[in-house]
Amino acid sequence: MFFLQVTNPNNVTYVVYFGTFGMLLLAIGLIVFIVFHQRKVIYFQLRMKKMQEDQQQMMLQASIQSQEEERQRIAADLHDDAGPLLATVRLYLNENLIHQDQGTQLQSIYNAKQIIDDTIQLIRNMSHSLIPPTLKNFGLESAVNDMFQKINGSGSISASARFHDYKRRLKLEYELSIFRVLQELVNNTLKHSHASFIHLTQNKTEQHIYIRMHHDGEGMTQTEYEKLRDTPHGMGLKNIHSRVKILNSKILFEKDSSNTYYKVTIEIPIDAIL
Amino acid sequence: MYIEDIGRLSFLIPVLYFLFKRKLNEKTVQVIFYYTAFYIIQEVVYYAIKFYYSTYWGYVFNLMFVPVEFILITSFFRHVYNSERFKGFITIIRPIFILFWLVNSLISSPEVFNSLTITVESLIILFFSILYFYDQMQFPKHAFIYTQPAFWGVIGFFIFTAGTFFVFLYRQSSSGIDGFIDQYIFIHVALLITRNIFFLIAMLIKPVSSTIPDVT
Repeated sequence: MFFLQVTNPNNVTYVVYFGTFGMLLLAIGLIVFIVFHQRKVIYFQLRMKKMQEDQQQMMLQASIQSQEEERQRIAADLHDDAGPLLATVRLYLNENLIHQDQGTQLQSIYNAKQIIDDTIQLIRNMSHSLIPPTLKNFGLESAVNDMFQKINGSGSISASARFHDYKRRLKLEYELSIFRVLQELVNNTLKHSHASFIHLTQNKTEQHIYIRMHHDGEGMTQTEYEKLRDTPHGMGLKNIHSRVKILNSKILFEKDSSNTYYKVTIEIPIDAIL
Repeated sequence: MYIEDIGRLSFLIPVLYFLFKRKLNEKTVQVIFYYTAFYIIQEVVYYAIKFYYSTYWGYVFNLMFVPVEFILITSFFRHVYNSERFKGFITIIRPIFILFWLVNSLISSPEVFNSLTITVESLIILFFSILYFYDQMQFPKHAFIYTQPAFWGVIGFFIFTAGTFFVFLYRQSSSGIDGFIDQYIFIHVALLITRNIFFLIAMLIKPVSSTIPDVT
């Protein structure tokens, strides 16, 4: 303790008082800082939690709304198409039919059969719109190719898909979710992008399945996607987000480094869906 | 002399409160209780030895207080840390300090206040206190830190150690200076009372289970 040897006794009193005061001030300052800092962190976390809850609420609302819209569409199809058709059949097959001559009876039965066939076709179409038969029977690759074939048929845009490694099919509900996301992405591209082509590729690593779609029209970046998704109008994007979340996957919207294409990549972890 | 007695008596407040009011269920509060109770026992035994035997053996006994006090304080910090790494850190520091105390005690007379040992001990306590705050920021378990008894216990140790740092540092070299001992007693006792008030707060506070919201 040589360095603490007293040279001037008066100095020690000052050193001790000022030193003690300084140390106490530092200690109290540090405590106050910690308490306020922690409160700030907690308020931030609470705000984040509220934002997450709000977002989940919005997603839930979007999901309920889309379900309601689907139900309304089915109800409208049944009411407007199937209802009148079956009512017409009832007219053909009324009680007076037995009082008619045989030729009229046969004609009525034939007409009723025709309408019943139309009704069956209508109900089949409705069922197909709920779950595409190609997807159910042949899988995602065929369903995407089928969808792109229909788009190509319009002649206004060229659509192509290439699945590099899709030998083993996923569960139907996961394939349906991926297909719905792709449908929404393709619909958005057709509606807003003015693209001349859409190309979709599928690749696989040990951990992930990658589905990438790119086009040469007007697209959006990740920031724009996140911003639009959180607005009350971004229903389609909310549906994409919730389906991607169900798959435990990630979706990335980006502009190609050459600034020519926009691409969307869906990264699906294999563990989560097998 | 009276001021010193008031300081000593202030130890009774948390001890008596703990014995008669508080249940022995909170680990950190238990350690605070053992620490304060030990402090009282040490004072009583010290004066008994001084009175019945000799002042020299009283000083020798007082010297023994340092490692026990250090173990009790570090036990307290072991209970308050959330990080296992910090707990392991205490396990390493403990034998090093005790070895340092042993060597330092052997080479110096027990009749002289050993500023070096106490200063090193103070620095370690200050470091552990700051480590506690860092630990609370890195691995927070409770939404409001001041709703936990451990926080007030650490505040007690932190304020006392920070405040007495300079008086302990100069005690050995400046004991002969006029007025220094009075100055030492005044600061020491004032901070001793402050520390015991913080210990009492630690015992009065009922831990609130306000957990941090999970935003992951």
